[in-house]
Amino acid sequence: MDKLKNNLVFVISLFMVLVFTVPGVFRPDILLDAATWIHGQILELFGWAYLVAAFLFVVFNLFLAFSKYGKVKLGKQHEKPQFSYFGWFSMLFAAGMGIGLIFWGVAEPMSHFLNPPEHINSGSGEAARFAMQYSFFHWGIQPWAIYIVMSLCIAYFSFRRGMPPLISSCFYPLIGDRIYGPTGYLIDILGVFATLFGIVTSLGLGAMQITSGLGEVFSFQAGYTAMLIVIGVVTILFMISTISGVDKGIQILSKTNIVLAITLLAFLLVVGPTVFILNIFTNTIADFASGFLNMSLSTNPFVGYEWTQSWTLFYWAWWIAWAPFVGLFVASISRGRTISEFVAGALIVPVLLTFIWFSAFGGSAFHVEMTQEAGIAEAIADDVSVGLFLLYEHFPLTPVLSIITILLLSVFFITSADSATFVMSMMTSGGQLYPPLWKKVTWGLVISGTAAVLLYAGGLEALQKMAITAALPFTVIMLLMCMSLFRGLRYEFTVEGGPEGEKAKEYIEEEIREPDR
Amino acid sequence: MLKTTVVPLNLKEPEEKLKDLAGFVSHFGTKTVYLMHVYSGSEEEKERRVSVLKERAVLFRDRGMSTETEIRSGAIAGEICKAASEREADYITILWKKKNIVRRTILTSPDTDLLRICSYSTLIFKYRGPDRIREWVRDKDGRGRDNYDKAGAGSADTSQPGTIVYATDCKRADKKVLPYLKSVPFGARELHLLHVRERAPDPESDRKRKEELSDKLDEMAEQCRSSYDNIEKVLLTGSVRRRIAGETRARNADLLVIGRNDKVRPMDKVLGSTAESLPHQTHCSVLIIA
Repeated sequence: MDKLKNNLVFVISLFMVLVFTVPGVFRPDILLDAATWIHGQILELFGWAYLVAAFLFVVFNLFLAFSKYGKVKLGKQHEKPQFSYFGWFSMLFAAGMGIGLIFWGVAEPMSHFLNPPEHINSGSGEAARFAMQYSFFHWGIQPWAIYIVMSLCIAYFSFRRGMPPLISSCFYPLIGDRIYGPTGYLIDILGVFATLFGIVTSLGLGAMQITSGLGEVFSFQAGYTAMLIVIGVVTILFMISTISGVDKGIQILSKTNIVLAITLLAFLLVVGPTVFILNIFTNTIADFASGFLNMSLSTNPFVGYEWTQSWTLFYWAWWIAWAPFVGLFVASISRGRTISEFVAGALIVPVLLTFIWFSAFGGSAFHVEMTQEAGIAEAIADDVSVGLFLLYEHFPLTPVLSIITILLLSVFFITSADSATFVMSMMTSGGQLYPPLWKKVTWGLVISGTAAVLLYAGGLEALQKMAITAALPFTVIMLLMCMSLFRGLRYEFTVEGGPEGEKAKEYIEEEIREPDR
Repeated sequence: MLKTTVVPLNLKEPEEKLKDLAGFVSHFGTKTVYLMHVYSGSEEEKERRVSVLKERAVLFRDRGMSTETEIRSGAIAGEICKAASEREADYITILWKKKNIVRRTILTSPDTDLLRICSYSTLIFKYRGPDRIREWVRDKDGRGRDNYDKAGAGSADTSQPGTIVYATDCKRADKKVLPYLKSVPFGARELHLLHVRERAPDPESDRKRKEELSDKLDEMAEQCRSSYDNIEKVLLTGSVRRRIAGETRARNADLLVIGRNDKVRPMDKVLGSTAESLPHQTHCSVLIIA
């Protein structure tokens, strides 16, 4: 039965890739039109629901962290975390934000600065303040709250309750054995679908930015051949990483990433407009904190509605679509942590690092734009991928900075592809923590192949919108997951006597009997 | 154990319903009935109501129960509780009148208020029609069941509960309820021990929990064995309120027995406890043991 399910999910998922990729290759315009229409309709009709759901996820996380349930470990009660804090935070950051942060660190504040909602004057001080506040908001608490919900559920039901690490496992308290039937398959296939298309578009954009960075450094025209070479090299590297296993490859790469990112950050903080960056950081933290509730639930129906749809709602849908991938991956590296520790860790450290990143890169861009009229904002309006490299031109050691960034992007690219390959192999292998190698290789090649083909044909944007479409059912799925997790925890406390109750004792007894298991 | 009861009446109850009620409580071993009515109007009207109340008392005396009547003034639910306390009643009996959710919410209902504020055992009696007559039959496989025969109306005692469903929480409430099930002379032939449980978070714990609960039900059945011809054990998963209501209907129960849980969850304070909500959802009479 399990074998049948593994192959069923795998085969259907592969078939889905073909169904959506082939039109993207041959008629990208039709696919884009269809995807844009569906995407537009969803945002128009259910945009408010994304805002409400994301806010509920924040509330749910805080409730869990501060309630008695916070003491529950994501694993056996006596278990210790598998990874050190540094390793864990590095991997959290790499999987959760990764390429996106490099891509949008300069581009997003600049885009809002140049094209704010209609009630704010473009290029004004107010626009700059708004740009920073919303950059913090879009990359701050909510994305992580979304990831945490998914990760917590998967980690709880798999590591603590002994079920396979699949999204469908989280539904046992709600639908019981039906998780082993079509309902369960559908949930898992949807997870694979969202992960694959999310990673393909993300890697496509990453490849574009790496190539454009290389073009800046080595003065060549960034064309498709260069992108193809980039994808090829990165594919070889992430396949090596993925074959070496999650606890080795991804951890080493993620730590390297963090060191590279902190190096860039430190450089900008020291060499760049330090006081200006610190002022922006302090001011935006205040704006973010005081406006958090307002921003969280503002659909802006009277003014700025379209802006909210194209930015905030787009992001929320994107984070939700990303959640199966990040959630599964983060769950797999968080075994042995308590719920409180997990929520606090994932809500504070990566968010703080993101805020510092935006302050440093966005702040430096604002400084250059305001003092030297560099035209970065206009350039970004034409091509988002060039923003960071244009900023470097106003700093010493430009080629070195560009090379470090390319390296950082490549490593992020590798870690994202590596973890996505691992997650998809796991999801299509009935939740095996060590999925078969051939599945990892297959998914790795499918990711790179699809990204390469769609970059050529121009179907990447359509695919991104299709991935976001998956966010709608996933919003419902995630709300149900909250309910299911709550039921599971309540059961543990009311029937099993809480974390120190019978279940924990059983685990300890098992461990004494089979210590090496 | 259920010797004394307070029966509040609004004096609009049809006689056949009261007759059935009197018969029903007589099967509980009830010896004394306090009929009460809450009225705060003119003296003249009060006199009239006193005489109506006394007429109603005859129906209970006919069943061999000693009956007293009393008219009080004040808030209905509060006065009923006060009367139960002063008379040291074992339980309160309510002749249930179904109200839809809109009426219940907007106009409120003294019965609902009573269930919310009163900590006494309470019988919610539901009249099930005049032509309902029970005949005890046995299936080929030996399982007992009620056979309803309209043609035989009036030839037997319709008020006796033939099938009792006890919705157990397999926890504290059992200590309160089991003594009643064992010693009250309900005269019921069948007892169904029903437990609706929440599904465990994983299949292995679920299986273990099922076994544990099944053992508990076996133990309970053993304790009640001597008082009933047939005892069935039913273990279900799902929403407690919905499944209990559905199962009592499916089993054509005459009486649902539940224990009032002293530990109220925060959501119950808003939505009402299981004991408060079940009378609205079940088709049969409900005995809530406090």
